[in-house]
Amino acid sequence: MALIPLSQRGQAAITDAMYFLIIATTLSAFLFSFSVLYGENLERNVQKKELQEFTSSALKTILYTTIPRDMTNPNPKENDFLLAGLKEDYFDDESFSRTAYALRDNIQNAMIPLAPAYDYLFYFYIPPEQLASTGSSTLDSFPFFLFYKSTYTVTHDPDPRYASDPRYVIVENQGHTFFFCRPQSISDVDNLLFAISNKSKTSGRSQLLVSQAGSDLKYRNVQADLIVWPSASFPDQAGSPNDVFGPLRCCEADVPDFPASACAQTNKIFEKHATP
Amino acid sequence: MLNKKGYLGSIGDDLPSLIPLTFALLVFFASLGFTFNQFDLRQEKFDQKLLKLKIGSTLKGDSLINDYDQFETACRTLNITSFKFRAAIYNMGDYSSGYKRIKLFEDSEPEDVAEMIEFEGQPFLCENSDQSLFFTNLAAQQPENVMYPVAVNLDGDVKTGMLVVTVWR
Repeated sequence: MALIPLSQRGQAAITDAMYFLIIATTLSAFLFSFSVLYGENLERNVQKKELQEFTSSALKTILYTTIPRDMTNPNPKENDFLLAGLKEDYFDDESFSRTAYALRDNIQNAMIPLAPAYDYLFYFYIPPEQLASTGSSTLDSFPFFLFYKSTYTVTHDPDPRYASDPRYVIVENQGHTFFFCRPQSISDVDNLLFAISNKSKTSGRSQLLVSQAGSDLKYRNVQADLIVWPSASFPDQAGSPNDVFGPLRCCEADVPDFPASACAQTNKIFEKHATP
Repeated sequence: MLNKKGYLGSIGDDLPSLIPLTFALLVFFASLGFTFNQFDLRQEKFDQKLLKLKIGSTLKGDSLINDYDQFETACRTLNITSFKFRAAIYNMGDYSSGYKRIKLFEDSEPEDVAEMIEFEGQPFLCENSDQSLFFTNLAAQQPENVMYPVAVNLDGDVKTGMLVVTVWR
């Protein structure tokens, strides 16, 4: 073991102190990053749980509430469950033409807290094989499809400094619009959902009774889905190969005399397709 | 004597090394204290967030409140002392007649205020504090809110209500 001369002892001590400083600084940096990042995952999960719980509550609430039996001249003493009204309406002509707006209003009432910042879909889905086995067109898989979609206009910044750069745009007239849609296949909906992140989905199942000419009454399984996500843009430019909104075949719900509108007629929003 | 040139003694020789040593200890203990403080604050915030979810899911049950007794029974199962809370079911209005707002501050517009749903004069209200409904010092009270839609059965007429849970210090 080499002996350290007395004149060099101070240098060894200061080197040790510098090593100690480096170790202490590293530990402090670790502690600091821990304190900043602590609970981020938990925070995210709590928010996710909150949204999930909200959509699940909303779906049940929408279907549990009552509506007037006569929607044109409502009598407060003659109410029935919305779900019962929906089943009755579907039994008549395999569409929700009479109850569509009552259902839309109920959905809107339940979703008020999320309305300013979220988009959502609510639809009933009947699997095509169920329709085929009971003699209906497989294009009628979505007898009701409501889309609450954020709308806005995008214009290019007129400032000559930014005019040539497509990243600089002005977003104006932000709002939301209700659409009734008539997608013809579940893949059209899947394509939209693939383009959206942070969504929360809740499903419920029930059965609808239908009457086919010359046959007994038959049940169709129906799935009610409510899907919510924070408002975000997605490819919806008509004619674009990536457009995921066009294939949903949507029409604005709040136009006057919706059933008679050209869009509703073209897309057969509340009409049955011809049986193949 | 030549060998001891510049030698200040056993303490004096180590004196310069005490500066980085002290600085390192200061930095380390300061960051340790900061971390513990942050940890405690966040932990308390998470407890508050989890509590509002717990109160919400206990009171709403399966989202159909069949009568006032069901709500009152659920309210009695909540034994919360760590935070103050207030949970009430409001009539938020509807699409045709216009929507209302929850009044949390004294100076809200009166015509916007949503009213609590009542059953035979009893409001659907559950709370562990008799403090005024309105917040005066948001920074100190740090309220956390959650809202859930619920279907409330009022003598056969099932209405959409909004369960609003507020938890604060």
